Amino acid sequence: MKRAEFAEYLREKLKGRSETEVNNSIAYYIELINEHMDEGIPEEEAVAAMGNPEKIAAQLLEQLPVSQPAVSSPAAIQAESENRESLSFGRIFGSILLWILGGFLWLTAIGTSIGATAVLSVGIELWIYNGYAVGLVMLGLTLFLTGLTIGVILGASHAMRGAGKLLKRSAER
Amino acid sequence: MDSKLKNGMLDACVLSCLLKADSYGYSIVRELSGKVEISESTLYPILRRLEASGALTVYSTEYNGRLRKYYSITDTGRERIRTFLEEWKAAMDIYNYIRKEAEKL
Repeated sequence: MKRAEFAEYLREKLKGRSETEVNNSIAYYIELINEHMDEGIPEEEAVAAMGNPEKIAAQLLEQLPVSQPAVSSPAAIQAESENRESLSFGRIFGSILLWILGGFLWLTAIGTSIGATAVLSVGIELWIYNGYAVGLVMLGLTLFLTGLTIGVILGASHAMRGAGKLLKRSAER
Repeated sequence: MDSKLKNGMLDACVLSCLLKADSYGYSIVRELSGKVEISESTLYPILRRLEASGALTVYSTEYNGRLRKYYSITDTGRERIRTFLEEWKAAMDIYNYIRKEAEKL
């Protein structure tokens, strides 16, 4: 076996191990082979002097740590991506619900604001024809409906913004 | 021999090789072969272990148009040799006692 073949054999056998460690190990053996050859030993004999390549590979497999944590088992990677998918599915579903809620609240706001306007105009009319007592009651009702409208509008815009954020986050994933 | 005991001895052997001067793989194997059972492939894990534990450092120098890795002992490594000698001194005392008792029979 030649030096290059020996190196290639080890690289093949050590696939999946830290590249730096594999390179260091091969460099170690190549250096020793070179030293033997410096003493006049032919290349193939120098390679053979290292011992059985199969045994060397097995020994290195025992010593060298498995590659960086980034490379986990394929099953783990798949589980993670499935998890992510369901996560983003949940987000999209949540954002749709929030959109519906927001839309419903907007409609409510429109209703209450129309109600408030109607109550106000009826109130002014009643004030003019039936005296200020009924008018004041109607004015109070108008103020209440205006407050409700503002509250519902705030709620609706929050729901819409929340829905937008959820959708954006699931898109980033 | 117990593998832990053997590893400890080999570690100390390689470290004491470096006491006089820094050395490289081939030279270490040559110096130790004949004294202890060591080969190119058994030296490698020892060097890795010693480097990882800070007992030696590694540097590369150009030699004959290629790189040669030199190993240099650190203070931690020297401390390891001291500890090794102390532990074996105690072990030798026990050994001598046992032998004396055995010889009495």
